[in-house]
Amino acid sequence: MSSLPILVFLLLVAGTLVITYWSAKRVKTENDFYAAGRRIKGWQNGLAIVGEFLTAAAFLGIGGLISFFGVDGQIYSITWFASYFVVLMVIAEPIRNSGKYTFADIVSYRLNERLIRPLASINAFLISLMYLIPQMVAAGALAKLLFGISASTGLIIVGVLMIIYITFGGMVAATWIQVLKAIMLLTGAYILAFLILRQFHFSVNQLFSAVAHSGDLGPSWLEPGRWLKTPVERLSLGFTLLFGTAALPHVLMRFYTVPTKQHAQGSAMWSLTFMFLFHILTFIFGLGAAVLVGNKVIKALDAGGNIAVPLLARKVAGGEGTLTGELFMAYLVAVAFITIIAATSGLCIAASSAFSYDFWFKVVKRGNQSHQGQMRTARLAAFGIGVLAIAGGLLLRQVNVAYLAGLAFAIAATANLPTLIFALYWKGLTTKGAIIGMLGGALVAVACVVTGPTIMGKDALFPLANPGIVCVPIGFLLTYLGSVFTRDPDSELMYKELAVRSRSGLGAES
Amino acid sequence: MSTSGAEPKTSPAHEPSVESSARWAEAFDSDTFKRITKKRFVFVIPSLLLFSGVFLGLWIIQSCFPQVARYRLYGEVNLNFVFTMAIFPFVWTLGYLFVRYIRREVYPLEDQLHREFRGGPHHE
Repeated sequence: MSSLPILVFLLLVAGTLVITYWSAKRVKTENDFYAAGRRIKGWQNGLAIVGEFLTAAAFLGIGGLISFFGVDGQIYSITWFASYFVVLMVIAEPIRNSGKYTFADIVSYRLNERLIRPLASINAFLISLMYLIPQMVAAGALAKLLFGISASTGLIIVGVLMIIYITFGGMVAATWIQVLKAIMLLTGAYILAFLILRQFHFSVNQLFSAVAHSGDLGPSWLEPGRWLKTPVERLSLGFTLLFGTAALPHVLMRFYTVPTKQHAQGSAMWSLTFMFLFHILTFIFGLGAAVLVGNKVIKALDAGGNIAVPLLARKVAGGEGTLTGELFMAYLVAVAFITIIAATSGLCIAASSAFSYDFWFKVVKRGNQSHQGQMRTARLAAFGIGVLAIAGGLLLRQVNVAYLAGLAFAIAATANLPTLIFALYWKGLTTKGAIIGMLGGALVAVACVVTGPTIMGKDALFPLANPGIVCVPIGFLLTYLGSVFTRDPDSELMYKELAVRSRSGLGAES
Repeated sequence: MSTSGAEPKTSPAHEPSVESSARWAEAFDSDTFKRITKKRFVFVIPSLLLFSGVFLGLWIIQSCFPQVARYRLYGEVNLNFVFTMAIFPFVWTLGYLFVRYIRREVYPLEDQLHREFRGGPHHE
């Protein structure tokens, strides 16, 4: 790998540091740190949300997956995209209307705060950390692959930049870095798609024809079933991604950064639009890479397939050794790396707010802490989580930690989502029911993942790698049964207030 | 009620007073709020059912009728691909219609509710 990607990357990092410097001057209160002062417009927040979700897994991973296994890999595109529809319809506006900074605000609203908030905050903290560590490990692996530096060095670079962005710039920096990254990524994706389709005279049929008649590929690449072998596995993966995404703490947190319910709704719609614009292209990247680069070449360089899109970019922009080819590849590699740093920053702020705001300020200090004290705790928490993520990544870099990301989705979908949905829409939810649902749901999700094929391989006791189809209904059932068999008159009373507030915006903060 | 504007509630979790609870209950039981809820659910529930139906339809075709999924519609382009890609504009259109519907049908009612419970006899 030439030094060109490193040069482009350094230029981008310089840009993000300028953003952080600019943001740091605007972060004066805890409201600025956690919610960007609620000054982010709908389209800006929409781009930032897209930034959160167009991770390296989406940008590099889906293309690689499709180049190895065919169109089955599109399941990630349609479910990640569609999860924003669920967010738009059911979650975006109500949580903007009824919370302040975190998911725990809403459940604490009508339930016994002293019991539910510690649990919700630990839950959000662990989910964010579980999602953060695999991102760090992936960053190290990608740095090695893309820049030719050691995995440990790459991981430390990502961790240090993440700490700088969040500790100084808080949510303001996290938002604007995500916006920058989303714009660069979408631009790069469209240029790439244009260059690929040009090779096939802008005909999808010609691209498909090339796949079907390629000696290494064949018609089966265009049909379902090459990767997801059983119907249940396909349904369960879809379920996990669809519902897990809608309940991830760093996604929910984004809706507090906008000033009004209209902006909350608008940002969900904008994110749906930007996700649409990106995800309709992923099949072009995957199939294009399989035909133009060759999946054997890709596999020989990287068994994970993450190099497929950069290699394809070089190929269609002029080829190896040409200025345009090398430059375009360098651009996409640098954007991919910035993508990882931006994604880890979003997770870092979610984990730090779960600790500093939910746990420290609300539980330990019982809401009695000066503004300066809150800011100090928030920054220290961001720093501590950054160090923890670097240490976790370095310790676990030789281990397959992909299961941690799956676990984060599974717990979010099983433990968080039922409580959140019931808190907003069901009068009968009780504190004990929510605790049973959150604890029980998390345990079920952990048990399914630990005994599943991702960890136990062929000896798995639980057959599904993605347990959503089993876990999510159990999470809802446990919360329901726990509520039906217990009483909580205060929760019933508060339901009316939360319902009015969340559905109409009456009394919502602005 | 905290909607008076004088004391906006900044901390969601709180101990409800009898007086404020009664006023929220009054807002909850008002005709305007019932209409807001009904209007929202009238769109959201069928949309989510339709959305689930389309996703299940794709899954059923891929899982139970693979020969239908492989059916070529144009050259090498098969039904599975067209169905999958159709989900993008379908879901986006549903989302767009939802936003338009809420702004046209629900937000005016919400404004009405805000007016009803911000002043007059209910003012705190």
